[in-house]
Amino acid sequence: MTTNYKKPCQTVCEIRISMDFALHPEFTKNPDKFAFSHNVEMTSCLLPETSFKTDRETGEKLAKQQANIIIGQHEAIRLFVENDGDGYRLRSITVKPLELYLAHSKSKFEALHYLKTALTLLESQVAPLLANPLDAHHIIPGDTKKNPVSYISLVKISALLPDIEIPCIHNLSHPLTGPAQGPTEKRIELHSEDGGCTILFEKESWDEPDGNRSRFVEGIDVTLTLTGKALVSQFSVMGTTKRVRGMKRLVDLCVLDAIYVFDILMAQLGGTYLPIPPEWAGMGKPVTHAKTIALLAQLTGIPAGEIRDMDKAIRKPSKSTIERLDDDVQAAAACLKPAPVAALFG
Amino acid sequence: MEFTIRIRIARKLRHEPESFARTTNLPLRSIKPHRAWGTWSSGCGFSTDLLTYGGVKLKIAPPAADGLSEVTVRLNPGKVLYGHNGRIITYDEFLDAGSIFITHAKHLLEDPDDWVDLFPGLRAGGSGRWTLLELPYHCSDPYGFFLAASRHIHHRNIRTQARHWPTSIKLGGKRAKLQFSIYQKAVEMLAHNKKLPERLLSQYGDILRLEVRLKGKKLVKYIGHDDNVVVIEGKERVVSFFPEYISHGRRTAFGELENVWHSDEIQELAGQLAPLGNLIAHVASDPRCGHSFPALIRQLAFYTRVGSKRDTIRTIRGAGASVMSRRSTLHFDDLFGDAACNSQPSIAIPEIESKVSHRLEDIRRHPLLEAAYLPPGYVSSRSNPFPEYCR
Repeated sequence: MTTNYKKPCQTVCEIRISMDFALHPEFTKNPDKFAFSHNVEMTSCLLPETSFKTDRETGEKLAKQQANIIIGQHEAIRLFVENDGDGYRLRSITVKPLELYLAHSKSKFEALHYLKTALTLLESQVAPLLANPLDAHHIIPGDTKKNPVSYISLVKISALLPDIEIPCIHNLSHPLTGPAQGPTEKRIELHSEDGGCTILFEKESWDEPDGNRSRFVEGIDVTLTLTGKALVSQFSVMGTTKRVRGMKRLVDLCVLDAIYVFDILMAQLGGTYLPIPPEWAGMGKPVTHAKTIALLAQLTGIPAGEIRDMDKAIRKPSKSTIERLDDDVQAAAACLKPAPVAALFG
Repeated sequence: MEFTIRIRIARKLRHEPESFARTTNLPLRSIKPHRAWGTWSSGCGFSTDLLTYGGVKLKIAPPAADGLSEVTVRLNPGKVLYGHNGRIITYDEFLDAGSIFITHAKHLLEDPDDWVDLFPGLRAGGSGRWTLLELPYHCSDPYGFFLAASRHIHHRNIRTQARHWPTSIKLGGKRAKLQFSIYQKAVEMLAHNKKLPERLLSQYGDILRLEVRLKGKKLVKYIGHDDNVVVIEGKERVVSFFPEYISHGRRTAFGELENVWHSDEIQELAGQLAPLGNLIAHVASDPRCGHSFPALIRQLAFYTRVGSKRDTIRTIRGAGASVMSRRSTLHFDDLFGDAACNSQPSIAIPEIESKVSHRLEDIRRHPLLEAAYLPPGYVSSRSNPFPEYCR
């Protein structure tokens, strides 16, 4: 296991754009027929959820409906719509740029341009569904627009790290979130108190191209999710924020900006990556006192000498055993090579 | 708690649930279709919240060929009666919540006289059965000693590692048939759903909630006896219970936790591995450690590539568990004894509780409910025939 970790390839895997536009009334009456006649690749319109609240003064039951509309394969575009009684309005669009790009684009994949292409495709699919054609111009926010009415409310950026194991990650933390809580053997999550910043490390496997073939790889998927104030604050240095309805919002996004923010935040990760030492396989039995003491010292921060003293008090070994153990603990400890978690990101 | 029943849903509710919800007097809060496309039809399943302040969720599947729909009911007695689940509910209160559920839910039926099928155990040969029971228990932990000691919990039938947060511990996965949760209840109510006003945190901050969640075979194992287990569709199912079954099941489950309860039993183990278990237990008990005893055992198994089920690791774990038990200051019988059981602290939130109101006639128990859930000679612990949630 090398400690020189290769810089992973980051992708913008999801964006949510918030807005408030009226949907075309004919679309809400018969979504399938309308979408077909307007060349919209609608996959499904999930039945709405209805919630009821009783008006305390009139006693009338007021209904509010919410629904999700899926456009394209692999849920590449998801529209969230609401009806408070005055007709359906489009409240947000969640898009997976890479899925959308790969499903539609005939041109060669460009690592820095897929996002812009995907957003253009998104606009072409959603525009026909709006009641007011002029609103189509505002589906995709942009910092060149004078008075933006939509904005980016969530960004997810992820990276795959091959040959990394979750149980080897210890004491993971981040200045924005504090220490990781509730970790499992397959997943570690960091999240800020207000939920605006989440960093998820999850066990993953995938196929990587290897010449003419593909190679099965196991590793981890690291996903950074930013929303709300955390999102605005991280991207504000790019100059891509503007006031929308009185609040500062993110109104533009490019792949380079996303990679930059991802790299900056991952560089701030605290914690240790301690790989399994391959040399231990050739050092006697699988489980020995020396390996155990060396490992306990590394994991807990309690000096190895103190742990050896605890062991002596329990076993009361002979002098020769003590001397041999001291040498063996040193040898075992020398094989443990911890690296900062931030170093995993190159 | 959760149970499954098979009932004939009212025609209008099946075909036009939203219209039904708008026009009925029932306090239905929501209609949520199960993932379905296109237009509504009687072939769609849906979920609904039955009461204004929550506490009853029904998941209604499309009807089968016989016209009956399988319905999963999630019942939270605390929420039904008080609008929140911070109180420890007495057995009488559980039966009140059941009666309130039946009172409202029978209006969802095609024929309200079929109400006996709304609750498991009321009709001999019925298909209703309990599928999940969460058994809570409160104790006072003002200095956090119990929570700290619980960090080392382990159960021989739970393979997944315990998950730790600053004020809570969970042992057993989300879908596990046996799961334990230990957490500061007031902190959870404040953080999770803002139910607790912040000013009450200091008053109730010392309440530690211990929960065991039982499903499937584990439900039968811990709550089942000869008179309340029936074979339904080829599987043993719990169809009713008595209060002593609940207390016994909870005591048994918590009594099986390892590394927590004090024991003077010394396990004499020969060989080199037992001292290793002893050493790891000592390190885990050191305040600087930051890792639980089971976590250190897992790490040892991982880094030596032995695997946690192998004999080597089992022996080390067993020897260490014996040391952990001898060092523990928590005595099981003190915590789960009768005196402690009868004096569990509870969280009261007047702002929420004052809004919840049920009619006295809604908690009047039918003889069939009493026959299924009250043992002969049962003496109610209720001192006031007019509970505060009835107005």
